[in-house]
Amino acid sequence: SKPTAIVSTDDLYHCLVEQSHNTFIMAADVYREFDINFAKRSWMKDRILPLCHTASIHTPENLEEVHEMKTEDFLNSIINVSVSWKEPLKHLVVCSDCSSGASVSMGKKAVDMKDKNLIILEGLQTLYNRTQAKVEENFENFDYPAWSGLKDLDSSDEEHHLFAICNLCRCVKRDIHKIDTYLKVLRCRVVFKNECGVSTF
Amino acid sequence: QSPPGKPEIHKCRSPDKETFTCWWNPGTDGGLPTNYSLTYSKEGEKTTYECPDYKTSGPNSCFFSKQYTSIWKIYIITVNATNQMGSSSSDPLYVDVTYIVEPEPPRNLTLEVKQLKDKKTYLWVKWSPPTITDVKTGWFTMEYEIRLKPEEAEEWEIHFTGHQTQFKVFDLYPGQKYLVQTRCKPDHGYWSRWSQESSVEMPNDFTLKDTTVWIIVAILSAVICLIMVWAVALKGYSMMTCIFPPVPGPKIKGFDTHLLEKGKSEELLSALGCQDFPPTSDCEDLLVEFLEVDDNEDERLMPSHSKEYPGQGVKPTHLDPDSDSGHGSYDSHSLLSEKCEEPQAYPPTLHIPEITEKPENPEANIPPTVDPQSTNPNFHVDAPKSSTWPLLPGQHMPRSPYHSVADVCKLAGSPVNTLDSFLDKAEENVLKLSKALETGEEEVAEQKGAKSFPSDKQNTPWPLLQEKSPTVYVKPPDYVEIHKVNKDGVLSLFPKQRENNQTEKPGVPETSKEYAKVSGITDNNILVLVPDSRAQNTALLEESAKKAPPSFEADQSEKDLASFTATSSNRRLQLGRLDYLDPTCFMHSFH
Repeated sequence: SKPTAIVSTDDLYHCLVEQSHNTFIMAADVYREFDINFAKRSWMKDRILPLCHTASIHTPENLEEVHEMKTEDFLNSIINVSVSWKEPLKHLVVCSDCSSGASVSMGKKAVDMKDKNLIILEGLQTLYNRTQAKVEENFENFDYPAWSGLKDLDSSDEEHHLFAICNLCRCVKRDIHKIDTYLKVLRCRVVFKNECGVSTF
Repeated sequence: QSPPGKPEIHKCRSPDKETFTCWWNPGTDGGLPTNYSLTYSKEGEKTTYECPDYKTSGPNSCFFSKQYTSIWKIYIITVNATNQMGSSSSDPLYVDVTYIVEPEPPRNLTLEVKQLKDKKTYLWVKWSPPTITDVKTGWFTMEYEIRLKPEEAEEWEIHFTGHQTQFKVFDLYPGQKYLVQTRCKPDHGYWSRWSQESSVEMPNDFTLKDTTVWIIVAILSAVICLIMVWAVALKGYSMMTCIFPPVPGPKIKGFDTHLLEKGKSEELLSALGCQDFPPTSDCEDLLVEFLEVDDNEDERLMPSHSKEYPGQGVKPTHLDPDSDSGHGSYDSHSLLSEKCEEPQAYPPTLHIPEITEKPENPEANIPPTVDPQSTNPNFHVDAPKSSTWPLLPGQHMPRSPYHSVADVCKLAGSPVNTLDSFLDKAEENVLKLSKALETGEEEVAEQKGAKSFPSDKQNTPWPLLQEKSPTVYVKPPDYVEIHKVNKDGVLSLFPKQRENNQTEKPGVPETSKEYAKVSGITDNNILVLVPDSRAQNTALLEESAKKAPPSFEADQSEKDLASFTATSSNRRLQLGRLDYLDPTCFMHSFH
């Protein structure tokens, strides 16, 4: 797109960090509200928490791995996470609207999260293309897993339905936190040459 | 005894996203020893694990090192309590390590008081991130807060500073001591504890104090100015007097205007310092003295008039010589008496006139050279002179002595009228001479006193006067013949008894030519002629021109000059006039 082509890399990083930071705050609010309303029910204790659908995507687990991973690999990993949430967030918006337990604010925030995720994805793609000779537009070469939680969301059983929503909210919060954390690391690496915290801004 | 109470998990915290610790609160122990154990499982796994470390973090805690820590995974943690009577479990806690980060507080907190260009003071606070967190690489993104308060205050003032590690605080109270602390929080984590306190005291030289000082200075200055203006206003007159003192008018030292107003001129003059001038009375005395001087002169003139009244009528200018001639005659008498008594005295008398003649006449230089010869022929010289005089008395013998005097005047060239008056007065003179002698004695005494002669000389004139008086009364009618005429201009007449001298008549015309005026007649009936200056010079030349007789005549004239000059010098010293008296006459009278 033309607007992103005009923005410099430094400014693009600053913009993405701002978006990811704010998106994480919304995701955290949605999860906290749901947890207050539903997580304390007795039936939640007996259930085993399933893994998120993005668990297969490898991301650094500690500081050493962060330092060792290359920038393009970092970007590739983050893009895979962001792309994997395009479809689930659509369904989360629908469920929030039809769910009897969800509030109006949860619904609005779900919509905002969906839109911001798309913006972040577009920015990440631009940054990735600037590090590559070839331009990727359809994410054909990206290895992101398919989401299989739709059946659980559409289940007629209430407990099963709510448990599915809970897992979805928990996972989206974590993944957005990953995106925010790794974007901040990349910005320090690219823009501030690993001298963050010393400068004042 | 009962089974243990239900424990409760207090909190789990990770300082660095690589390790974490959980703490729990035990429940009741049931009166029996109770063991606590922590078990956990991860999401997506069915396996349950037990706490790897119960000691590192202290009692009732479990420490998970890096080995057992995984981020981006949820830990399901439960604490179990067990005793002999039974066991109980806590509620499970879902923990994601990325959300339980609580870092250490910031370090190196420093405070610094600074000043802007406009002298506004502020506090500069700066710090460093905690050590174990990796902020440089962005693995941690920290946010910070600072809080501060005055030392004695209770409430803190908190300032959020964002991501920056320094902060400026303005508008602090001067002279106050402030406490400052700081803390940090990672994104989506927990706030750290507050750091240790740092304190700083703000200085007193704030702008506010400066302003206060200037205000005080201004107020004091204003007050001082007002006081000065007030003082000047009150003492304006005196100050004007000091600044512009009055110009003093002219004033005379010692002068008192009051005295002038009162009319006391004497005191005024004394005040003016006029003491040097003589007072009015003194001036009057001076005038009186002046008048006395004039009176003295008049008195001196009167006796001369009384003596020579006819002389004044004929020749008023000759009054003085007349009186002098009288005095001179007495002196000549004294000299003659001395010569008779002491013949040796001649040389000293002769020497004296030489000395006196030198300053008067330069021609007198010749006589001193011939002095020893002149002493001897004095007597010889006298004889030839007497022979020349008989001619004049021979012609006048049939006439009275008065007529002979008239003839002499004619020869002198005097006018006839004056001669007539002179002859008429001659008789009066004879009578007056007797009176004059009496008055003359008094005058002589006065003159001597006035002239301050020595006492010896004063005594000698008296006997001369006594001797002189009878000769004067007896001899005047006897004069009928001219004895001789000296170059000094003295014409002496002798009585008839000396007819032998008539042989010398031819000499008379020469002498008559020399004299032109008659100064007067002395008491001894001696006619004094006043010679002219020209006549004297010609006579001297004629005498010097002669040959053989000239030598004798010259010697005689010189001798005469020597002898008579002595007497004349004496007279001149006393009277200042030419007079001659014949000593032979006095000698004959003595005999």
